Amino acid sequence: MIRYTLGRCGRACITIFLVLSIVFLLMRLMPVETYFQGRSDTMTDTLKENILRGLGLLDPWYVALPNFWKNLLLHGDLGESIVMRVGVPVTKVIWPKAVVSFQFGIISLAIQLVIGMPLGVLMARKKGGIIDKAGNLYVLLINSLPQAVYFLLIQLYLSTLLGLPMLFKSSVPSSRILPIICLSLGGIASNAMWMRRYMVDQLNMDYIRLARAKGMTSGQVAFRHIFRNALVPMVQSLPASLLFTISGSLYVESLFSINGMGGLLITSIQRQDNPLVQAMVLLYSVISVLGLLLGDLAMMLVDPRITFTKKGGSR
Amino acid sequence: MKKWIALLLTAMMMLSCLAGCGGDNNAANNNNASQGEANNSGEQNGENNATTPDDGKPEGAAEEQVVKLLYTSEISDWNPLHPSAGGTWANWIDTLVEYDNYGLCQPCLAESWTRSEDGLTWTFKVREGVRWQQYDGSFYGDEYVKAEDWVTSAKWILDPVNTARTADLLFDIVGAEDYYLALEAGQTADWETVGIKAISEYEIQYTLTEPCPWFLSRLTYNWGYPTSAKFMEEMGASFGTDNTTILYCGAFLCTEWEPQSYTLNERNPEYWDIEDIHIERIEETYNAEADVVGPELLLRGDVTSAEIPGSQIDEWMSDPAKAACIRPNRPGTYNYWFLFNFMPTYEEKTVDGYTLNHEQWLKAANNLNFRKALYYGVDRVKVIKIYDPYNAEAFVCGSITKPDFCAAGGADYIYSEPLKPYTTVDQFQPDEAVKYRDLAKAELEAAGVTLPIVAYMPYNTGGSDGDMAVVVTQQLEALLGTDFIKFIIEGYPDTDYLNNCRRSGNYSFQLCYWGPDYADPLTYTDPFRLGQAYAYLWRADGAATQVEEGTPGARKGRNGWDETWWIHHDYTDMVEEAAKEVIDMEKRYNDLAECEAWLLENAYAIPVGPIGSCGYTASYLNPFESQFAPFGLSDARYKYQWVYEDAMDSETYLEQLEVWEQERAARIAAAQEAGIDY
Amino acid sequence: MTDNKNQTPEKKETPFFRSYEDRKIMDLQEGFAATNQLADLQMARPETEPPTVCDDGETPLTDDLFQPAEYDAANAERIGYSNYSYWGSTLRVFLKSKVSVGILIFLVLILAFTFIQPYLPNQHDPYVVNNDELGATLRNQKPDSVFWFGTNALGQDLWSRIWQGTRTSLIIALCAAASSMMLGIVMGCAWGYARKFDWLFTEIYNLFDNIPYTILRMLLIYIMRPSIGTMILVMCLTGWLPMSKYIRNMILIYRDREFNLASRCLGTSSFQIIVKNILPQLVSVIMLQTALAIPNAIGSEVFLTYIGLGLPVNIPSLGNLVDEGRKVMLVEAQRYQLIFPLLMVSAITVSFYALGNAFADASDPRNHR
Repeated sequence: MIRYTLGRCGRACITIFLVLSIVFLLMRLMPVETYFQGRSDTMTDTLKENILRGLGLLDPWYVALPNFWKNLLLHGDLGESIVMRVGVPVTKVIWPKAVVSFQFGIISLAIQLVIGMPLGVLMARKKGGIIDKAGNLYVLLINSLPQAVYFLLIQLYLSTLLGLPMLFKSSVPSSRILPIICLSLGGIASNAMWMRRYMVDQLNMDYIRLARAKGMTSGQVAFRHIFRNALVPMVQSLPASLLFTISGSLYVESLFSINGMGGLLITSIQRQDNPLVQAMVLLYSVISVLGLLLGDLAMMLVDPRITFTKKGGSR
Repeated sequence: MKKWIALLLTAMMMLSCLAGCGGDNNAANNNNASQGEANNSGEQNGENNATTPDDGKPEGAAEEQVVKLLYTSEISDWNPLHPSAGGTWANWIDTLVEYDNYGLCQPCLAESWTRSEDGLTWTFKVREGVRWQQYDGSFYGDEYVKAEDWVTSAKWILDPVNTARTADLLFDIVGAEDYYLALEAGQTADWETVGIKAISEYEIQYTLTEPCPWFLSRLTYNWGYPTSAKFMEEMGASFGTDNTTILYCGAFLCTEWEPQSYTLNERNPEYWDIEDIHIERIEETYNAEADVVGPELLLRGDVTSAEIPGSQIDEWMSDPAKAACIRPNRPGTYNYWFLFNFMPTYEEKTVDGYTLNHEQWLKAANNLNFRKALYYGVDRVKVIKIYDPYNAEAFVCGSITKPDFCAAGGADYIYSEPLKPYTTVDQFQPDEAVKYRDLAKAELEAAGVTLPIVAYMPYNTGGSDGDMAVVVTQQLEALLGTDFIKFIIEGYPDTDYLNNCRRSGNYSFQLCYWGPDYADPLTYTDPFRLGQAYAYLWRADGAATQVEEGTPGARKGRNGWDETWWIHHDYTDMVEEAAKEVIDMEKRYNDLAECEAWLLENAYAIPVGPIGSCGYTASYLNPFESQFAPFGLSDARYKYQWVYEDAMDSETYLEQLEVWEQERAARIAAAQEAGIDY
Repeated sequence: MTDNKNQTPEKKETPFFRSYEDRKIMDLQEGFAATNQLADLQMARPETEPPTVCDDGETPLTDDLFQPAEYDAANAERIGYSNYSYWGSTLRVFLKSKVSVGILIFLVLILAFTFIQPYLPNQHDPYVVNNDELGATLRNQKPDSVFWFGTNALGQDLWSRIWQGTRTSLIIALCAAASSMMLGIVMGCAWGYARKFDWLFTEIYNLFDNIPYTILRMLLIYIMRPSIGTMILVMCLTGWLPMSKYIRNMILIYRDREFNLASRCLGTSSFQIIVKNILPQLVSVIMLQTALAIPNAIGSEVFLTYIGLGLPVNIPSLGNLVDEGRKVMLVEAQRYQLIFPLLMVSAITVSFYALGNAFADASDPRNHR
């Protein structure tokens, strides 16, 4: 297990190295026009060159890329933002936003699990019943309406209905409610849907028939056997969901004026803030690799039949 | 275990709900959207009320003078000297001069100024007793704003290592360009050679290489901000990284700033001109969806001003209560026109059976009747209606220069004699268009050109330009016939659009725009002169002579786009001749107007109007009270302005606009007569 | 020997699963077959005297009393079979539900209509700006007899734009879904089964997953210009990731079960094991994912339009139409501009979702009765 984990980590480092280098090169392919802030027609060429040199964009890529790695590995310096917040170190730009997004994300994740999973279980147990139908209808609605539309509706109508503020302000605790509701809806639907599917798949297994024949009640069967087995595929995505709570949701954060990470990656790519993009790609890569690793470990923990290390079989 | 976690979370949720439903909801609704008649006190316009901030309120002013706004783009660069645009600090740091609400120059941090006889030296007397303050209002040590502070700013900008975006704006000051280039090349340079000196503690002097009658207008750009050298040194690398790392001497202090969340500006109690600052607080909330959410917040009284997006205008206009709340936007800085390209580089492909061909296009573009047919054929109102369906006629502008830009001899520049025929008469004349079309048809066919002329029109997919392209091309084809002209339109992404489509010559016909860089009509001749990458006019038949590099007086087409060398471009020579006059403004403006009229007469450009600012705003402020300048940062300021209880409606706006325009022209004429620089 | 036509098995089909019920049926069938076999054997014997066995035990049993049975290769190989066809059974269960059939017909009708619509009479061109007699643009007209769904802010007919948009979006979505399914399954299987290469595929997955989708999209648009082709290309580049992860997870679960162990012992190739043993366990998951891939593609199109990287505005697509409608959502008189595209998106999503679920339920062999 330890060896496996270490091996995974080692390979992950190589992947992250590749990802960062590729992103660096891709960003360099973008045109430099935007750095002249609309004065390109009147600026002199020496001035343009000077600006590009100051941004570190004048060197050819085979000089700039090793420089970037040197700075990162030897000095731990990810650079300063060049467009979004000029002159500020990127860690200082990212950290407060990540904290805000994390707060919203973790609460919403908890709600999704607490409401979504039991709902899925109920739907599977009383398959074809009223709860199943209602749950299916809910999942259907959430999936068919675009988020941009029903978030706006929630913001406008629910705020008047419940008397909640429309925009988020950190000093007003009640302004957190609407964004959290919006964030949770989709997760509840998907958790319920997949839980139901996995449980229904298990319902027809032979060992369930045996358990019932033994005299266990439906409840015991559902909880001790079916739920545990259905949980296995779902647990794979749990660590990743947890870690990705800091990534925020673009829609929700734009609508409610939340200073989070949601739009940061997209905006910094569109405005070509290269150091910030690279810092964020590094952050997200580490999270995603970690999430995948933890998910695999979790799966191994929950289901002893799954193994990555031992060759379970004749091979 | 799971059960306890679930219970705990539910309890947390319920607690937060209770907390929310209990206490205060939101900031108190100060300005309720009472939909009544807009009530405006016309006499407030521009008077410097010598009243203290709390009494002497005009009729209709709101109880609480607080401005609340939504903003969609965060401040990215807090260093006042670094970026291209200086509007961010307009309320925090004062400049030597500022503009009043009629657009005339008034003293600000400079109490008075003199100009030498030859127009080359400007000396400003700096106001004494203005202290530097920190973001919370406390005084910064014992520091006063002194003449040396402007020298500090200029020195910082002209140092290439700081990569200031506006360094080239100083290059016409004696020694500045050499200083910059020397430092760039790694040599030492002496600041004493540069013509920016603090000749005494409170006197700053600028020496130019050639006379610049509009020098005052340039002082409201970044390099016109004073900077405390002591503070900059103390802050080091963190200077200008957020609201706490800059110094203030202006009307407001930025006391709170949460990036992409919230900005709070409070009135500076130590401001030297505090009597004219009536607004106490400016609260700005960041919201990327401001155009959807803003109007709703305005109705709830949570913001004092919101722009109504094009998609909602219909609804606001159809409801009489809401319609009484909105007024048209003031025309903005950019003016838009259609251009014919004389250096086509687009792909000669076939689309829908029509083949693009450079030779065919050039023959057509060089034909005066062809250009005139399109000139009279574009329905400007129809184009503008895409951006403003209700007030399109008011935005039509027949000149290349935008309206309310400058004036001489008592009338706005665009109504001067040479330009009157174009700006007072509707240029959309379908009969004329058809007439010229027939003439063009005959001439082109005689020259062996196969009709229809196939024109390539790119448009920017980020915005409403796609709609505009569809509407204008269909309208022209319907009027002139698809046997005469056919447009192929194609969308390009916003990334690097100008390089891809305009500068590279990748178009036949396109909507372009230009904004002034300084307060003189010469700025609007820039796009058409030899050396700019707009329509490459010098490549028209007979317009200029192509020569070898190194020929005396030869100039390159445009570095990177047109590498050939030219002399004797008719338009450029015409303009440079007119610009030689620097004393008699009336003659200067008249001559420049004639150059512009020449362009219009030959239909090299088809002006539409300042459509970039089309739209409607619901606002509790009076736009005619605000400082006015067609460039620079004056219109970001809040001096003289009051927050009213009712929003201004369109009728009142249009009435007041007329009054304002007349008053402005009169004041400018008076200033010119008195020989005052404005 | 007469050839036993009615006993020759038509196909050598080994059923994948045997539930108790199936086993019972097969036992019965085998029983019947056995009796048939016996009867036929009896009938096939040439006419001879039935052998008599003497009760007293003194009559010797001679060779001519016995008839050797012929070696019949077919009979030797035959084991019990049932004409159980997996897909046939799936289809049968699926068709049993009237609701699913109804939705399927509805979906097929919509799809057919999107392609027929331009050829019907009285249809307006989706690109033409419509003017009235005075030349003024007929913008934001409510639905009436001329413009069945009204016009948009530019004066273009919304009815034809919606059908054109549905065509565009469906083409994009179908291409994206098809590629994601095929690539996803192939990559997922390779990733999940080959223990030796698990690390390689994990890293490839991480590589693709971590390069921000937005960068690729922006670059491709910048290089290739916004069009339907670039949209499909980018969706294909990253669309296979979620599917492959699902498949890989499920394969990990089933990889080391006993029946696979048995197959490996028997020498079945890996490919056979994956395709015949494991994949069928995943059919329901695959079906659900594929069915949802189409609404997901439309959803990501809406998202791309929201951040400004979608199709240019003059090419109608459901993403563009929904985004434009969203902006006027608050305006009472123009709400129809949102409602119609939204109805279309919802109809397609709901249909695919319901069909996906129904098919996933039907394809689980334990539901085949």
